[in-house]
This record gives sequence, structure tokens and C-alpha cells, in this order.
Amino acid sequence: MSEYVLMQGDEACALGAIKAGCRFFAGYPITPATEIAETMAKELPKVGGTFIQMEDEIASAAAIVGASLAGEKAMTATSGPGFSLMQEVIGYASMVEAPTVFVNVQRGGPSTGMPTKLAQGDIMQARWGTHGDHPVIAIYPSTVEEVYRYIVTAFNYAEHYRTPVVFLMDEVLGHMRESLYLPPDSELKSVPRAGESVLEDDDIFQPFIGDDQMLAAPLIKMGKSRFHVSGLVHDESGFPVGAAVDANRLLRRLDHKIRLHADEINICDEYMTDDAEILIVAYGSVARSALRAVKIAREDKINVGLFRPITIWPFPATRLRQLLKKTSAVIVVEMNLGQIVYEVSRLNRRSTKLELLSKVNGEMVTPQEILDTIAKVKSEVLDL
Amino acid sequence: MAVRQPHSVRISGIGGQGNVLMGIILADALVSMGLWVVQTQSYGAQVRGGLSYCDVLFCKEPIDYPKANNFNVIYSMHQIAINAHINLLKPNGILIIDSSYVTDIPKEAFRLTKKIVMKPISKLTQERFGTALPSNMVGLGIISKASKIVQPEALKRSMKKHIKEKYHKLNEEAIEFGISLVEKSYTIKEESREFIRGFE
Repeated sequence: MSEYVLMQGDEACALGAIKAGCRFFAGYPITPATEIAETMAKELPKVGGTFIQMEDEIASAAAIVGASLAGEKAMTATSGPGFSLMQEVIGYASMVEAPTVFVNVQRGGPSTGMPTKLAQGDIMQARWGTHGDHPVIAIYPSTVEEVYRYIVTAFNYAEHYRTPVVFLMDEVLGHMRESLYLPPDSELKSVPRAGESVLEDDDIFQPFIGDDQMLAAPLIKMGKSRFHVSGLVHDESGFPVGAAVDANRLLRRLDHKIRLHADEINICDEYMTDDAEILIVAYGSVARSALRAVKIAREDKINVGLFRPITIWPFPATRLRQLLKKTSAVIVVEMNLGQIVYEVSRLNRRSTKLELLSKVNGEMVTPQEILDTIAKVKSEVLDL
Repeated sequence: MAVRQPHSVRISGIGGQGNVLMGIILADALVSMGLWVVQTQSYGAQVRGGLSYCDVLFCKEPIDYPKANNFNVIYSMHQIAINAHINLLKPNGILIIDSSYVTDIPKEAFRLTKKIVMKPISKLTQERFGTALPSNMVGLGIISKASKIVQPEALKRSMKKHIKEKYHKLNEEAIEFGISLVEKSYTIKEESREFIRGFE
């Protein structure tokens, strides 16, 4: 039997990252992500890793890109204000295909906002925060156990697709302590970094050649060989080029390596969606309020189901499109003024009734508020 | 099959009184008893002062919604806290008050419950140990005896995980002292209503 423990979300994020092979953390403390840095500072040296407190978030982000290209799995953690600062480097990491994990424990915003309160305002920023067309993977778990498991997935996706992965959390998830069975190490599989021994004597490491799946070659631990890295549009060798044909090839490949693999990347969770007439879409800690609401509504014989995207980006469109065909109404619950609701709306080709339950006062949406919305939608769509 | 609601405890005071540590130790003790537990907290941006509270939910089943609308036990360490939270006590819930900092019990309390334990916990701790620092451990002893939700041994084991070794003896005595302050124990009821139609 695995170990039964009480663990904080932030702590689970740090410990899970170390399990995934993270050996470099650069960050700047910020509520509600401070405990991730604290745990990393304490635990990383024990496994031969490096923790650096940087002068700010821009430097933190740049440091993990450097560490990653040099061969270590690397991560940083911040909250909204710091995530804004990191955007420039997230674009750079996309362009140079540096496997990195950016944790954003969301707080109320904009600006300094509400440091100790719950919000989910950074969903679109995770997708479009940095300039230019770029691929993104963003994962957003709901429980402390999921934080521990999916941070490993975040590192694996980062390595496999050679891309920055945004790991979204929120104040409740970060600060909450919760009991869980720690998954045994045998259940957590992580993609290892290969050493330079994969290169033969006269080989040049070609880090930006795409394979037939549009994926770049896996990064290796560096030492003897070297390669050029640039945020400018570059050719396969990494050197800047000005040719339109090269730019098109690079940008298409960067986009396709995520877009064409979306179904393979997507993770979502469902509860009683088989016969659901009303579908609730919720994610992160708010999905837990929705789960309770669905359970109560089912007691009252109302056919409600829950769809919970865990990979927020790329959005699990294929599955949601299937569900939308079967339901009479959809309720999107989010702690922002409406962000994922646009994704749902985009997929809603049959004009199924779409209702947004949004809350931005920092207090978690209650199951009762969701039940009230279910009752309202039920009377409007199903009863009349 | 009814939706099972977890039991809930709110520990509230002002920032700096140690209510979050109290909640963590209680939560860890409940985990060691094999229960599913969620502990959440709320505080402002300031380090000391201002309303601050820590909630512990526990259940025999995994917990979905991690917050509670109302509480089986409220432990209140400050007038500001009791004024803010009295209406969140479940009817017939257990109300524990540190009267060192609470002078007026809001009258709603007497409408909600008769199960009120009121002691000058911080003052008694100061007299007994020469310092008010272990007041929160005395409080945990009181919660343990008054509500029977947690075994004293589990509390002590958990306390030792979260507090430096040189303070173990003091805090162990503080928990015992808390237990000795309570004369009467109450039971928290299971709430679940079966729907019975009468024929199937």
C-alpha cells in the first residue's frame, strides 16, 4: 500500500517536479506560490539539484531556459504579476524549443489584485500572453493528488514536444492541504534526458530538425558538443536566417507539433456525462464545487454531468464537441469574467443553450450557486 | 444513496494567534486516523492582525468541494472572529470560545446551540505554563475532549511532526491541560437523510 499523507498543493507541485527529474529551479517568491520555492530550496540540494532565488521573474524565466538547454530539467513558479513578466521568455522558450515548466498559481487580478484569494483569470494569458503565433501546452489540475501526478506529465510533455508547459494552479489548490495516497514511483514515469553518448564521434548535434511528426530532436545533456540558439527565426542549425521559406517552415512546424498531436496531449475528466441533458464545464479547484453540485442534482433526478478539461491548452475540443451534440444546455463555471466560455461557444455549432456562471470576488463558487444556475437553465430549456 | 457531507471545524481568530498551525496539526492527526481530510485557510495580506481562519473538513469518503458552508465545531479566539462567524455554526454545533479575548457572545449563539464551552484559555495557559504561546495546543486538547472528533494520541503524534523537538514536552502537557479543562463531551451527528418512498 502506498503512503497516506497530508500535503499542501504547492508542496505537492515541488515534490512531484523533483520526482519528474527537475534538478533546477529559479524563482522569485510570491503569494500564493511561495511554498513551491520554499520546498524546492529545501529539497533540491538533497538530490544534487540547484535552487536559485533570482532578482525578478524575468531573470527566473531566462535562467530556466538556460538550464534546460544546458541539459537539466528546469522549472519556475510564480503568480499573476510574475507570470506577466515571464511572458517574453515564454515566447523565447517556444521559439528555441526549450523544454521548461512555468507554474502559475493564480491569484485575483489584474495587477497585484488579491494575493490570497481565488481567481482563474490567467487562462487566456496562458494561451496568448506572449507575442506572435506560438504553441502552448497548459495543464490545470483540481486536487493535490492531481498536482503531484500532472506536474510529472507537464515535464514529460515539455521534453517530448520540446516546448514550454504552463502548469496552472490557483490559490485554493496551492494553499490547500489535503490527504492523498502518494503514488508509488513505479506509477510515475518520466522522460529521461539522454547523454551525449548518443552522438557518434563525428556527429554534429542538430537540435532544430523536425521529424516526420514535426517534433524536434530530443535535447541531450550538453558538454562536448555545442549548438547555436536564437530567438530570431532560424534554420535547422539554429542560426538566424531571413528567407521567407525558412520562416514559414519553422512557424508551421512549431504550430503543428502541438496542433497535430492535440488528441494525444489532451486529458479530460468526466462525471456522469453519458445521459446528461445539462452539461457543466468547470476546471481547477472550481470543478470540485461543480462535482458536488452534480452529485446533489443527480439525487434530485436531474440529468446533469460534468466535463473537466485538465489540459486547458490545447483545449480538448474533440471530446467536448461530441458531448455538445447530446446535451440540451451547457453551463460554464469559472472564477473570471468568462474565458473558457469562448472556447465552448466556438465549438457550440448547434447553438445549444450556453450559460456562464462567473464569480470574481475571490470567494470560491459554491455548489449552491451552481445548483441555482442548473435550476434556472432547467426551467428555461427543459421544462418550458 | 445520499450525498455525504464532510464534518467541518473552523478555527478562527486574528492573524498571529496560531490558528493555521492548529488546523494543520488537527488535519494531520485526522489523516493518521485514516480519514479523508482537507484543510484550507483564509488570511489577509498583513502578517499580524486582521481576521484569519483555518478550516478542517474530514470524511470517511474522498472530499469533493473543499469548503464548508457551516460548521460542526467553531473554535473562536477573538471577538472579531466570533462576530464574523457565529452564523456559520450548524444548529446544535459545538462552540468553543477563548474568553480571554471574547467579552460578548453574540446572542445568535444561544439560538443555535446549548453546546458552548467558554474558558479564558489564553489566561489559564499563561498561569499554568508562564507563557501564552501553547494556547493553541490547549485549544486542540479542548476540541479533542469536547467534540471527540480526534484522539489525543493522534494529536500528540501530529504535533511532534510539526513542532521543534525542544518544545514537544511543553506542547504535550498543553494538550493534556486542555483535555483537563473540559467537563462534558458532545457528539457530532451524522447527517444524511434517506429518501423512502415506502414501496419500490
